[in-house]
Amino acid sequence: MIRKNVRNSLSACALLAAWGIAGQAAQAAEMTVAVGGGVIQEVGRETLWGPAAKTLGNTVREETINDAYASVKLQAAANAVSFDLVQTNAFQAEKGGREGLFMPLDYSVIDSKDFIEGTAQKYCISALIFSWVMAWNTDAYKDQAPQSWADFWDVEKFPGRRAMRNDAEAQLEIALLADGVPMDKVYEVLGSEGGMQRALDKIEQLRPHIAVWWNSGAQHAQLMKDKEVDMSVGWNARFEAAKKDGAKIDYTFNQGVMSMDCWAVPVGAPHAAEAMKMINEMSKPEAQAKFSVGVKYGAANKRAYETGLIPDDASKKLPTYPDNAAHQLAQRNEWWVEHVGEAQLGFQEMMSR
Amino acid sequence: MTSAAFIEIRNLSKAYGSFRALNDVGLDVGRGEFLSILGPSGSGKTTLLMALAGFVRPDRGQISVDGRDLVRLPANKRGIGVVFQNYALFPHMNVAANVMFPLRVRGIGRAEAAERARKALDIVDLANMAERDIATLSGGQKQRVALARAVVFEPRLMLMDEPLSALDKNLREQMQYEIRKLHDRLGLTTVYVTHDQREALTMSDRIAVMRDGVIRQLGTPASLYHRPTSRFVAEFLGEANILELDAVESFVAPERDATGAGRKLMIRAERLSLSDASGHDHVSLSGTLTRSVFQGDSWLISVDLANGGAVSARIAAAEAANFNLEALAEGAPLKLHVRRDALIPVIDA
Amino acid sequence: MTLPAADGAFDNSALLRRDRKLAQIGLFGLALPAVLLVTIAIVVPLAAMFWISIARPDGSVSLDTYLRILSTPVYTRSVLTTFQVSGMTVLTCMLLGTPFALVMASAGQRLASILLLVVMLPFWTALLVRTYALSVLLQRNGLVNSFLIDTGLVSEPLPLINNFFGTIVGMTHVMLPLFILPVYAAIKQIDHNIIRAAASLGASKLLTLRAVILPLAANGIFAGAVLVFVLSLGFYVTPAILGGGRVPMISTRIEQNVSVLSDWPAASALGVLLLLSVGLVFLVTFLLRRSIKALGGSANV
Repeated sequence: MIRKNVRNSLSACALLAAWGIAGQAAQAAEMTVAVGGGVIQEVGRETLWGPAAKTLGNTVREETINDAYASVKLQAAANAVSFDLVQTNAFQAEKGGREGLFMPLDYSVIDSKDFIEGTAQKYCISALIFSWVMAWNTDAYKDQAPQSWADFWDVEKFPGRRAMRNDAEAQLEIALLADGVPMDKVYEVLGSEGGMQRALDKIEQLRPHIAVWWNSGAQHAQLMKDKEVDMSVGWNARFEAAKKDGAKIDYTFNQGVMSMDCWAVPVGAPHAAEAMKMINEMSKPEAQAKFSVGVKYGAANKRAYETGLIPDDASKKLPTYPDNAAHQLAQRNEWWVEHVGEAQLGFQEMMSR
Repeated sequence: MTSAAFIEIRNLSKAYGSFRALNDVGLDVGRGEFLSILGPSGSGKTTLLMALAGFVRPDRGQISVDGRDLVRLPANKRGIGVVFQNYALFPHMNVAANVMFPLRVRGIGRAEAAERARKALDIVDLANMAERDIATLSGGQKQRVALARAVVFEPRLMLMDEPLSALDKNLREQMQYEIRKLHDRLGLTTVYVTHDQREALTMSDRIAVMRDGVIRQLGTPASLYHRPTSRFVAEFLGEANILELDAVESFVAPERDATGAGRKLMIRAERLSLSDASGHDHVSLSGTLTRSVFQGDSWLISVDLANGGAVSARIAAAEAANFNLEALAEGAPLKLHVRRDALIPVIDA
Repeated sequence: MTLPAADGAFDNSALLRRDRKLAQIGLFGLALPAVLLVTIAIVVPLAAMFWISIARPDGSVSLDTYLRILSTPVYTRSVLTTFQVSGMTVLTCMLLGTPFALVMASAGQRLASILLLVVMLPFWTALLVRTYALSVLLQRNGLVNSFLIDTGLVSEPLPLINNFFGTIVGMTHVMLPLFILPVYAAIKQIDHNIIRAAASLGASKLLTLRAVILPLAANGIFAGAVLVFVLSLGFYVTPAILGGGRVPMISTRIEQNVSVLSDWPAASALGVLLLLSVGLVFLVTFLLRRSIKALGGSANV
């Protein structure tokens, strides 16, 4: 009888102790972070949300998703939002934000004062930045390399086959830049009466020389490598990799169009307040620098380049390196969200005409 | 056969790997003759026919038809009518189109071809079925169409590869008669392959019995049936009792033939009789009844002979009644009688 | 033993009917997993797709999306392109695949298995890999153009890729096995004696092919052609990569509507139109075959 009582009280103690531990753990949030997989997920775990969660005393559950916008839309439709943080492209974040899928970011929590202009937006803040740039075959243009989009259009001075993307995104901005529109006026012109038509006409003018409308990232670098085309619009990292592989190509950041993937918080996220704190941690110069080195994409926080964490030669190949960023245009997703339908259909119409 | 033979086959050999389908076959067929090639499956009979038709290229030997060497002539240039097992009609053409095919191939105009096809179909009693689809025909009708198609271009030589094997018994017997009639009427020379000995006996002028790529015996149906030279031919053509030579007293024959092959004594089951027909041209065999089976028109009885060996005898119904065979118990002593000229010495192979 | 004679004891029909019914239920039970799978994996998504294509945000129903698509040149042109690509693919498959199937069917066993292996080989490689491999062959500095230029047959590289031609080459490469196999099976099924009969009746090899073998293989050729056409209608990867952006198929437009424009109603409506196209092909096929069958009796040399 006595022994039994002792045992009962012992197990009661154990229960109490266990309950105490569990209670403590419950105070830390388990953050669900939805990302697209691959090297970004691996490096991000090491340098972004991993350390951020540790600092804040949270734990992280990762979800790998294909299409952030579609995933969040489905969750919202089912009233079962489980993501706290979503990495998505800026266009989808802006579109989703306007549809009430993403909440405005709390910039009283997130410090974005050192971010490149336009990269800390209402519904999302930059996670990584890549750039639409011009690449050319160094054998084809030995004496003089093309330096601007105007050169890309100049088939007299730079004869040869061109490639552009089979999608209007960034191609319209590039067309206006080629047509002499100053960088800070691009979206103003695009938004004005006849502005979009001006861009489409400009591309149509080059169309006989566009041998390929490319479709995927892997494809356009290969086109340059195989000398299928002499000049192409494409992504800086892909060209850099091809160049490093020994392809006879070069590229310039001059008049590049910077696009970004960014962090957004879904409306109805279980731990929205914690998510803002996480974003703040991940936006700090050190985190941005480490992530940038790992994934070879540009950091949006300008001070990342002052941390000394990015080696000199590597930093010059990143689109947001101050000297590079200065000559580039940051893509404005507000315009795209408002005009995507007419822009894309108009572009497809022009392509297949 | 004389050198005037319509078909002359000399030293024909064909091997598939180590399997010798034809082994030095020689055969003459006379003009207008109906010759059957009879044998079990794998005996080489179809290979021989296909060599004649041009679908098998012999490794060695010669084939000539009507004095013309055929070995290197392609099948479509031989002008030989062939009727195949399962008819081989063109399922996508109707009856008339099937029969017109060989004429159209030869460049004969549609009107004339149609007229000749109608005549050919008339011969096989299918004139009213010209527009029918092949799929709607019965087996017998398909066979007639195949016949009409094979004769419509008036070949001199007709080859048939077990053409009746897919038909039931009654239809078969009727078609045997009709094929033979067609042969006679059109003055054809026919080589007819079958594994059915009754069919061969019924239809043929002569029969060539094949086994293992060799013609074992060639002769008229009666000579082959009554005087087989080998145990194989004897057994293949009918009910044969094979006994040692000394099973019958006073029967004398050389124990071996010229080649040294062993000999046996063959007696057809229906040549044994219960009726005592004594005389020097008969011999008697004593034994005991071991089994008797009633088969309608006759009885088949098994008898253990006193001198060793056993025989089966087919006793006609009338004779069985005379001897009250029904009442005989197993083990009853019996005496069987047989004409001396029905004792046939055969090679034991 | 004698069975007791009761009223109606010899009428088993009711019991037999019950047995049959039970057997039917049992069979249906066997098919149930497949029925469920088809329902969940095909019927439900298709119904959802149709609903999305006609539903307005306010819950009312309209055909606006369809009208919009049918009046937009970008879409109508891609429908035309899709049918052109599919038809051309069928044609090249017929021209290349039928002789191949014939050779395969008449070859010896060993050669036939080697040829079969050659046909099946592409199936063992990922579609994307094969498509990129083709682009290596066909591009300006690819093997084909290098050969043509080195041998002096052409002076300028031929445009073999990033156009309609390249798309057809790629589509044919993908679809050829699917065409060859049913045609091979159909030819193989022809009774050997029928071909021999044609020869014995005096037909040359070529005439036998034309008047006997091809008509008898028509079912297989037909099946192969329909299969290739229908699969081509919905093809995405090959035209996207080898077309160089110049061969916009319906599938391309669907993908753009989903991933670029987020216009699900338009994507769904295009999907429904694609499905209707497939249905149309089957209907035409069915009617065509019926009329061919009706004519079949008088087929002639």
